[in-house]
Amino acid sequence: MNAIVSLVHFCEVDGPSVIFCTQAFHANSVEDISDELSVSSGGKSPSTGQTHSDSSKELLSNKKEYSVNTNRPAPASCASCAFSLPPLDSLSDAKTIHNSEIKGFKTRDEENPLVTYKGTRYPQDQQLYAAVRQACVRSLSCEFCQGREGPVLFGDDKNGYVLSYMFKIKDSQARGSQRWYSFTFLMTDRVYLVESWPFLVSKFRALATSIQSRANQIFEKENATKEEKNDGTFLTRSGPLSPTSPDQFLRRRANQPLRSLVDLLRSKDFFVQLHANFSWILKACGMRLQEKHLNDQTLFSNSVVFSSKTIMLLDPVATYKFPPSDFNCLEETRIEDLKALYNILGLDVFRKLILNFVMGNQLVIKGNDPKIVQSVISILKDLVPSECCSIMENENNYQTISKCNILGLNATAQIPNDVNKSTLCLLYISRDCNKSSKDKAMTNAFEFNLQYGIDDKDNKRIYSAPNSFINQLIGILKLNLPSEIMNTRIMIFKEQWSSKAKQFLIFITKSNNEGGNALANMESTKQKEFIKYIDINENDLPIIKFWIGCLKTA
Amino acid sequence: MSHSEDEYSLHTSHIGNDVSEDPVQDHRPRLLIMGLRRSGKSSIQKVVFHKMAANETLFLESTNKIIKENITSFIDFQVWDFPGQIDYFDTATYDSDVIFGEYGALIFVIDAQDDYIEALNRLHQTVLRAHEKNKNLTFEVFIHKVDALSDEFKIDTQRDIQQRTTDELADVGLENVPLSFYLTSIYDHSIFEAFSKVIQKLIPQLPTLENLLNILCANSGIEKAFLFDVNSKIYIATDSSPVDMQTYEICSDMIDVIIDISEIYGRTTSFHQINDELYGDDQTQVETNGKAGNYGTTTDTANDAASLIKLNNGMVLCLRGVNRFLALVCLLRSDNFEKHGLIDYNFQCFKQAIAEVFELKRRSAERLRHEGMRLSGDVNEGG
Ligand SMILES: Nc1nc2c(ncn2[C@@H]2O[C@H](COP(=O)(O)OP(=O)(O)O)[C@@H](O)[C@H]2O)c(=O)[nH]1
Ligand SMILES: [Mg+2]
Repeated sequence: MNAIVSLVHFCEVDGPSVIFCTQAFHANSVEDISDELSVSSGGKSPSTGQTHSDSSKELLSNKKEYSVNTNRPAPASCASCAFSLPPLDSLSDAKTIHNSEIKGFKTRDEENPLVTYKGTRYPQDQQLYAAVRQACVRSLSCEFCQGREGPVLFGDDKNGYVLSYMFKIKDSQARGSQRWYSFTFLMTDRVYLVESWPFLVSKFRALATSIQSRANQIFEKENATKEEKNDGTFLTRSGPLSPTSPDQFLRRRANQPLRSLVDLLRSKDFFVQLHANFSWILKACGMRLQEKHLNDQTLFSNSVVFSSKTIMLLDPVATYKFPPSDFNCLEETRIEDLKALYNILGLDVFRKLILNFVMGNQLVIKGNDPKIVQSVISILKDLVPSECCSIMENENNYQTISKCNILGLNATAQIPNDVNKSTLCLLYISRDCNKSSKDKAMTNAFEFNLQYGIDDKDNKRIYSAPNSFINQLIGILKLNLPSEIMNTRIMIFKEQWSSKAKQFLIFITKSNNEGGNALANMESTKQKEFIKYIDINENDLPIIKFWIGCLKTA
Repeated sequence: MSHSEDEYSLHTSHIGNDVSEDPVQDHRPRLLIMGLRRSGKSSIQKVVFHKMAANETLFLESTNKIIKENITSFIDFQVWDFPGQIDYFDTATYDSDVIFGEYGALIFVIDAQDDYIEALNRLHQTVLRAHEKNKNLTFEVFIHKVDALSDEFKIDTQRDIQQRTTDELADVGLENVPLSFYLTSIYDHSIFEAFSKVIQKLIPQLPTLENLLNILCANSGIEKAFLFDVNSKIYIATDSSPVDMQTYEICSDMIDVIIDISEIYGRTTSFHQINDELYGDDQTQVETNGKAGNYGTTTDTANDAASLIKLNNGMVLCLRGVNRFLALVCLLRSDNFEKHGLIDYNFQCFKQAIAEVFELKRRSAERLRHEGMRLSGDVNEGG
């Protein structure tokens, strides 16, 4: 997902102007090739700020950094459109940076070190700047409708699509006591934007409402003091300085710009908060859905149908409310969830186990405690579509892959020699009697052993491919989510992949019908292209094929 | 760039009153009100076309986008109120051909209470570029908010502005572009007067109308006659005797009186439908025909509206409904009014003539519409 969020304003002096925008940068932008708005310079830009960041980061402790860049002169602007930071000395005594030099914020994504969120007045990229500017002008003076607040969607392929949430805030010094603002969310993918509409609108509305209510309070206060003054000093104030009519009063104001939001709302860290909100919106919006580019129209519409299944709204606000859960029930003999399993097995064993399973190899789980075996099985079965699972939980003898692909075996049972060991993966797991419950961490309380099966550990390129199934899954597990949300997240992940499998199925059925096998060569390039579009790593094709096989027969 | 029309909804904006989809009406003349921010553009538009009280304009919000308003009256036209902050000649963002391409007038408002150097620069730029786009555009400069200036200062200001502008335009070889200057304020009748003159230039029938008024005045002993658009109090024609401000003001006030009375006692009916006679001592007769009507939707029965006020200086102020949009207000000596049979007769003739003038226009519009429909019909068959 590539998007940029901005706050724009209809300035009394300059007309529509951009005040602030936040943008995500991906250190390695593999997915972005086809994306017009992707910022190729993203890779290098984070380095500029890093050297300055250390001390302020600690002091701020809310993972904000202040980066300084003097390359580009600060845009000349009136106060009303200015964006400003809280005075730096309140953050760090050690640093003597003049406010005027400060260009923006940078936030690192703690969960994904590749991503940074940069908040500046304008985007650096020229093309992007033009698009943001265009969005700003359009939302405030074309799509605008006097008196109407709320969202509107517009755009085109050239400048991208924009969701604009317009709102007005009270300002006793402004003409008509109103000032108009808008949050704009700009991206290239219209479908994605439409799908994100409810989410974005609800977040923008919440943000706007909080700004408005703050402004209202101050407006009331200012009006009250104004009236008071008028009453109290009615007689004494008749010097040449006092305005005699409201028009004169306004006229005097007319040539000086209105207050900036920081002053208007009397909130010094307004833009810090705004940036935090924008970053979060970008991140959360990206997590809700996976954006895919498909050339073929029919496939596109299908993909929408399928992916609508995967659009499960998990409100990520909740995810930050809970402290990360620790394992504290030591006597528990079950393994709670996938994350626990991952912690027990460690990266390598876990990887291999999962890979074998999702590619269709048989999993044999052996152990002397059937409860543990069962818990492992019930965790694993949720990783694949239910059609892909045939389970025998507690057997005394080996059963072939044609009968089941997950097999819970008694500890003493043996695997016959004639079974093909490359289609089978054997996990032995049981409680470690030596360590037992005295051990603090539950992860050490198990002993295990993995045998047979295939492994991708030696192929470095495949091993580290960021978009591969297994690496994505591990990425999710590394997120610091409460277990309930983690499970939902994993379920969504599964749905995403089964959706990919379905799309792929449609693709191959379609190309089989069309070309037969005469053009096998061309087909394979087409296929390559296609899987790139739906973001499947080539090495994950076995997974997809296995899932398709199950989905077809089901 | 044909799509940009839709993109910026220059044509299809739903702001303003009843914007009709009629292709013929889309080419109604445009009044583009431009000028720096806070110069009083929106105020003018509100006061003239919405009857906003002048001091209420203090509370107007600043304008964010072009506000278009369709005025349906004796001639249909559009009023476009521009935000002062935006440069609509910026071709990257706006399609200035669409904005400035139509027949009409560009009204440039200058705040005379403020330092007007910047406004003049903008005026010169605007004239230069708008003239480039559309050679037929007429330029009207409103030197506005003159209510706070002394009469002497008013004249000086106008002379200064006029001088600087003609010099500037001569420098760039545009001395032939006609510019008219008006001193205006929303706190008196000057804004209506100025608007009247602007609109009159857009009325092709103006010479005919003036001629008719001259004939009427000459034959009925009328001192001064105005043909008013009732809803905006703009006069679209007058006889050729000089207009003095006081006469205009009293005639314009007459319309206010009638409208006020009909609003209070006529309820849903607008003034046309009231046969309102204030004649002599205290003989007052108010009659409504009970039909609902407002701006532009009144029926032909409104034609009968008539009202008289005897002034204490021996003059008579006389109002007659002409058609659903227009009313004739005239001032005559009360001894001339003795022969009011003759006046009534002449007036009927006048009304008849006006009807014929506008009937001609209606028919040609209809023909145009038919042609348009036939054209689109052909397209449908062809496709
Ligand atoms: N004294 C005076 N003030 C005016 C006049 N016309 C407009 N104003 C004031 O000028 C201010 C700005 O008017 P507005 O129409 O919103 O300006 P716009 O930005 O050009 O649309 C308002 O406070 C009006 O009350 C006028 O004729 N005389
Ligand atoms: Mg305005």
